[in-house]
Amino acid sequence: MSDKHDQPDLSREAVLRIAHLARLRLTDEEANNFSKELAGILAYVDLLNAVDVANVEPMPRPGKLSNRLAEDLPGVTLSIEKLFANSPETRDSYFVVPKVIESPDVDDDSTAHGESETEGVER
Amino acid sequence: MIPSVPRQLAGSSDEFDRESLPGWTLTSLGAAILDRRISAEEAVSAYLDRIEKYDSSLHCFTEVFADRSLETARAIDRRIAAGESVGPLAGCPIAVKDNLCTDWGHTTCSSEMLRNYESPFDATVVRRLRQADVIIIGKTRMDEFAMGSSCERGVGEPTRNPWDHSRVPGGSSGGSAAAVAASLCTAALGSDTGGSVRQPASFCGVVGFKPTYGSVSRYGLAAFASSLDQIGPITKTVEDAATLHHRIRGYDPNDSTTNPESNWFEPIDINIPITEMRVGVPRQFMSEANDPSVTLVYENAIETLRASGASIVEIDLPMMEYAIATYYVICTAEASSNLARYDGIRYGRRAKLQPGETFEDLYAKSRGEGFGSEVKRRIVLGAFVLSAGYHDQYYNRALKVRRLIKEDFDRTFAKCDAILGPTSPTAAFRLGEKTSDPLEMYLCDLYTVGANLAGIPAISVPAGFAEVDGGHHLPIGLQFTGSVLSDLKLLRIARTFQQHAAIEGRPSDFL
Repeated sequence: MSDKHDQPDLSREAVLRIAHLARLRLTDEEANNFSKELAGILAYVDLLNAVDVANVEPMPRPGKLSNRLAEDLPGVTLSIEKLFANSPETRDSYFVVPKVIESPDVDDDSTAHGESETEGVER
Repeated sequence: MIPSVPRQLAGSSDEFDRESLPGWTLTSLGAAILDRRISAEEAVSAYLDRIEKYDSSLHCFTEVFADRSLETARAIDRRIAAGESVGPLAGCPIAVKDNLCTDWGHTTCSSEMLRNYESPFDATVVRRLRQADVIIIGKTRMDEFAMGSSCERGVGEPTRNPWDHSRVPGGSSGGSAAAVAASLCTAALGSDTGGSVRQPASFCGVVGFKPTYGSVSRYGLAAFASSLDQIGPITKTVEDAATLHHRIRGYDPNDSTTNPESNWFEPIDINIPITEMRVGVPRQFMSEANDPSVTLVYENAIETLRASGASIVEIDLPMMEYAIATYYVICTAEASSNLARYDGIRYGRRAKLQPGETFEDLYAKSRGEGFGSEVKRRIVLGAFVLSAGYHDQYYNRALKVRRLIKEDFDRTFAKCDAILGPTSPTAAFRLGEKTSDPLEMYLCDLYTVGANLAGIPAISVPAGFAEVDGGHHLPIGLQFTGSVLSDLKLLRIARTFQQHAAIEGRPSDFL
């Protein structure tokens, strides 16, 4: 742990960059508001800099973590129909998504079930 | 006005209809159904009547299962009539928060993202309630994805506080707390990540219990912050909270964080003599942040306990002032990771793409359209505190302070059996009062987040009233916090407190 406390960059551009990393589209208004609000929240969080945390182990969860091994037994799983019932777009037992591979070298037949130019499928 | 309410809620009365319902508890109604004094169908019909009458103005429910509940009730009545064995809570109508999966109806988390989501399976707690022959009468409104302290965020009308419709019921389990307070169900389940069961219980004048982390399976609970989330009961009495908790608790192979401990051999109604109770009072809880009415209720409770023979122990929790900052770093970090699953591919809202847009646009647009602003704010904050360059400065530091907060509690419990303090620094606030400033809303959780960070049990019990606007009254709850796995002892202490000092009251419109 370094003692260096960088002043966080929470410009509108920085907020949009983080949102992009989280694959989250923000409206202009949200980007502007978050820039101000998050700066305020993190300024409050700076309170934690006053705490001496030297030689303190991080505590990611309460209690001790131990391995729990599941018994290897056959059981009933949910049906394909039930599992796919909530999907916005499916074909047979596949989720339909926009084409992921854009290379011109890949022709339609080599993408799985590639029946359309704009769609691929992912299982 | 404060309604005059008998200390012991009714239950032996022969009267049973929509008007007498508020006098019944989960325990008394369950016994009456098993004794055949009331049929399950009568019980369900009466609650459905009340929902019909009051929920159009309160907005506690996102979905009510009227026909299904009546059918289930008739089936239970037939089994009872035939002398077959039924579950211990047979026929009791209970509401569950809409982030708990039910394999019928919808599970929306009050989010546009899951508006049409129909879970293919039951949460473990739902399955256990059904095994006890409980009737799940509906799903309750919440702050979107459990992020909020007022039930104003997310899809649908904000839930109103039954004591004052211009005020919030608290959050995020506000629909569950308001439904219990208005007697639209006998009891309810909520989830508590930083106070989301206890704070609305305090605002609505009911009991809210957050058990030790790992006591109750989180399988089928839509995850917000997995190291903090815990499911707990919202009820009219401590006894009901114990009864409901006992039904849902215990090891579950589907949640590897549930602990296989079994410290629940004895019934709740064994009294801990009040003269043997050591109640810790931290000087940090007499804070200037408290509304004067909260401080007054707190001081009165301490005096009542002292006068009844309990030992009042002054204690020190110096790390308390860091709890909110620690909590909001950790919970947003975990949320940004947990909510990555909502991608528009396998379930949930999927955005329509324009020509030329890619699968990356599909993710970003679906999430942008599906999540409300508070959820987005927390995802961005969480992604930020986890990002390269800031991870050590924020996330890792918060995890270290978390340990110091836990050690603060550990030291304290060597000197006392439970800590008594306010649940919330204020009584219920007005709708819209805190929505413009996110940090102000976060500070509502001042007294509740500590128990989640440390993984220890805590329970809010109605303890008094605040007088507002000349003669109008709002309930105030106090919170007992105990050490890890001391749940049963904590419930007994809270029960004793309820007998000696707590107020049982009901919103006067709902008597």
